[in-house]
Amino acid sequence: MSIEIAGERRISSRVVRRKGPRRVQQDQADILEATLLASFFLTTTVKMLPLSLLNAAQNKPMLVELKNGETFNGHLVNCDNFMNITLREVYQTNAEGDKFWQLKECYIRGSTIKYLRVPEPLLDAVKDEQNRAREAGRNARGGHSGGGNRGGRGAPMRGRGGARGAPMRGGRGRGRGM
Amino acid sequence: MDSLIPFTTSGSLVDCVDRKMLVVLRDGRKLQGVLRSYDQFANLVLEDTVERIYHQDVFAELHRGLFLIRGENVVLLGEIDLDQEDDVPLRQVEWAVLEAYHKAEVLDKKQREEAKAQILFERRGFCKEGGEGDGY
Repeated sequence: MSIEIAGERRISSRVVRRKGPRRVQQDQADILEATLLASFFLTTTVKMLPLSLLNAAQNKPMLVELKNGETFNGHLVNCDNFMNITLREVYQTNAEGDKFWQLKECYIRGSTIKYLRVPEPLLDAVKDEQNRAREAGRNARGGHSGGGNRGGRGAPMRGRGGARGAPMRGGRGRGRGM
Repeated sequence: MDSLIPFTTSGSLVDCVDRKMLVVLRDGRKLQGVLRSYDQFANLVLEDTVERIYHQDVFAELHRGLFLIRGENVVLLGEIDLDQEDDVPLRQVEWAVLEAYHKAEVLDKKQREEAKAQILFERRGFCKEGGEGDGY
């Protein structure tokens, strides 16, 4: 928690001092948001972002409800960071739930999704998986190779310790000081 | 300390993780579950989720499991006070009993809204809501 607060103070004072154009301030807001998220994931134990959970749900059965109420039951084939997904062996129902269709495969644009329901054991499975990956990474680093995953997407949760927040912020920022 | 955390999605939700939360969706659905994760869009991961329906002074709930909610659809996210939730003067009944009442209520509300929109459109010069692309 103390890391988070300390980081916050540094960042927010920077925002106040700088009188740049609006775009730069927006950038800073983005950085701030990212920093906060990063510090959240560093200070808590292993956590996964909603989209990493989705990624981990590949080949698992799930129910997708669209904003218009239609539902799609199927196995997740693939997904991306926009939440676009492809499902296979799909049962589609209309919003009223009285008409059914069976589809071999379908693609759903992320922006049309209301929510996804995934199997409950998945959360635990993924946590275990992450723990194992982290342990493995720690052991490997202890041997010879340095931090190979630095700056990688989704890497922030593999923090080595509190002091890590600062370098990551530096590496991640975009467009500051332009 | 609170004043140091800026008002961003992440800043507001850190304290809610691993708490029992109430989520109201844009379609009016009410979900209760434990918030396990979120991101800058307020996409949420809810574990042990139950959906609740209400009618007058009774409610019913149905276990729905693990939810990944797309942030856009969230209207409200509030923490449930575990000490006080049992004091709420509502009676729980079977889902099957209440579902019909709830559906009727939703339908009734929908029809009233439609009638209202129709009057606003025809007599008051308002535009129509919920047209193409309006819902997204």
